[in-house]
Amino acid sequence: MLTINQLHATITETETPIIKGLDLTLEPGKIHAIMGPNGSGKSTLSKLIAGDEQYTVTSGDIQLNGQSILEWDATQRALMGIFLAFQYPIEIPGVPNDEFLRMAYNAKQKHQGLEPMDPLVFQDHLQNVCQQLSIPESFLERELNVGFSGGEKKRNELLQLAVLKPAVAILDETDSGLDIDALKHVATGIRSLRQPTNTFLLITHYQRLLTYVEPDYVHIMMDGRIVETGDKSLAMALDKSGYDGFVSAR
Amino acid sequence: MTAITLADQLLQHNLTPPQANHEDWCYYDVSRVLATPLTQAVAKPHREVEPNTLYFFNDTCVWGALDPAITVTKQAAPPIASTQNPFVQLKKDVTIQLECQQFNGDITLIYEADGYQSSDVTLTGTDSTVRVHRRFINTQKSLQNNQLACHLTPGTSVTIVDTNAQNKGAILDFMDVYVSQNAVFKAINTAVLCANARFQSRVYLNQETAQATLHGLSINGCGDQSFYNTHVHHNAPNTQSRQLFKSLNKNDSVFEYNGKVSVAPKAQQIDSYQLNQNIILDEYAAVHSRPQLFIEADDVQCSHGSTTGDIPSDALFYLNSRGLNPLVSRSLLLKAFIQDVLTFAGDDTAAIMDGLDHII
Repeated sequence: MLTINQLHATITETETPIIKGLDLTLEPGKIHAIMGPNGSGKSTLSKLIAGDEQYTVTSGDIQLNGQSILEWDATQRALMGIFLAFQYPIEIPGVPNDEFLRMAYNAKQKHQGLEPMDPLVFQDHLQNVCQQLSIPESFLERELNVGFSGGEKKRNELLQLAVLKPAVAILDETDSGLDIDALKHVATGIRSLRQPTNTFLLITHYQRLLTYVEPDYVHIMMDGRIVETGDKSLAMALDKSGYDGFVSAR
Repeated sequence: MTAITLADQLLQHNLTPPQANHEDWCYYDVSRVLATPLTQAVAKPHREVEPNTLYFFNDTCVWGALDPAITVTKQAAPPIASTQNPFVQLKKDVTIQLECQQFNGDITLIYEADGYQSSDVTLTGTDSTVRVHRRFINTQKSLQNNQLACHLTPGTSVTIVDTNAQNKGAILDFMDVYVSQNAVFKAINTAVLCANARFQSRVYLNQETAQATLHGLSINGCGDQSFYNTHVHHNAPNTQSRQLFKSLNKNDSVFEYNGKVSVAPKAQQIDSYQLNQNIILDEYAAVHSRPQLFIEADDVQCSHGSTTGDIPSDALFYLNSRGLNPLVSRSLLLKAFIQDVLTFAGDDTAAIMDGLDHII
């Protein structure tokens, strides 16, 4: 579904290399997790895939269903089905959450040549999604992320993901800052959104989320590359040994 | 009609113009406004004036039916006018005394000019809650030179809502506000796509628990120049002031916020905050942000902040990553930027939204 081949990328402003020959294939219907020490390039990778211009691909390719996405801007990538749940979602005062979701949803409808959804029908749809994810409907009336706690912001990202139904969902440290109950809610939400036609990439520091989600693949990223791929047992082993132990054992 | 300039007017009254080396005027192009030929227009027939409305056209003033709690009188101007410190303050034929006694409601002041228009209004509020809407309308090669003094007796509340949009002439506006105990003064000024607007506010918090809130929003496009010059004087203990001024700037425009807060030695335990935030949308606009504090008391909360920059790229990326195109995303972010000031503008937001659409 999403294939990354020998990707090299730098910070645009400083030309500092961050991604250094990364290979990764995200398969449809699968949940992938990336773990790695601080500074290994995990968040950079997620933003690169989503089209953040703060980073520049210097060589290699990212393909979605066989088509290179490198020439697409962030808007086009989103419309083609790539979604990034942010580690630090942005607050937008004055924009109600439900109105924002409707704008984003209808932008995608338009891109697919479909009619925009009627506001009343869309409101019903939103309420159903909130129920499915155990998210209070009061989220919808609030301004986008304004005054949300850290956990609420992460759950709001999940709400957007559920409404936009992307083909490729990348969740950048969605588990950070969540208490145990919120973590379970998020994990349940991810499991419920999993489809044979989509793929998930979870970026996380902790094995905790993965005990609830159970990824199909766990990738270890170090110094801008994927250095090991395994199943969920890899995350458990890493949790015991730490990254230093992992490096020593290699 | 006789074409004159502001320089001529000043000379006629033996007055000196503001000097560019004065701290309050250093970014304002005084020479430009001094040299602009002004048409000394003949007063045209007045429009029908709504109730509780004063209509200034060029150098005349009429008003509509007034609530019994409002009194308007004309008084002869002082024999000598001056340019204090060195404000442009031309001699007026008359001053307008506007007194509100136990009045709760709205008053409208319409300032219109197609040549030279000046006004000198003194508003006195007693046991009143007054919302004053000031609308500025002018044409190219015109100058509006207005003075408004507000005296708030104890317990009175006055809110000034200034609407200034798409004006091609120059506005030099001066407001002096004297706030007594438990009185509350609020002002919101919007300057949207105006060629030349300078709004000056002097607020004197003279008795305990007096409060003042000043807000401004300026949207500046091609060649527009907009200046906010504020000075809040905390002259008594336990007084409070808030200032929030924002601007959006593009295309050779100039914006200045020069905001001062002075705290007198006896004004202990006052609470003051001023914030100026500006967005520059291209590399051609100029912004001068100068929040300034002069504190002579030692037990106060007094702080300020200032930011100037482009639309945050991380916010833009966030919206783009949800499938919203760059134009829609920028529009949303600019609306979000001005949202807190918009809240104070009440219903008078149509011109602001038009200006926003234009600048995007």
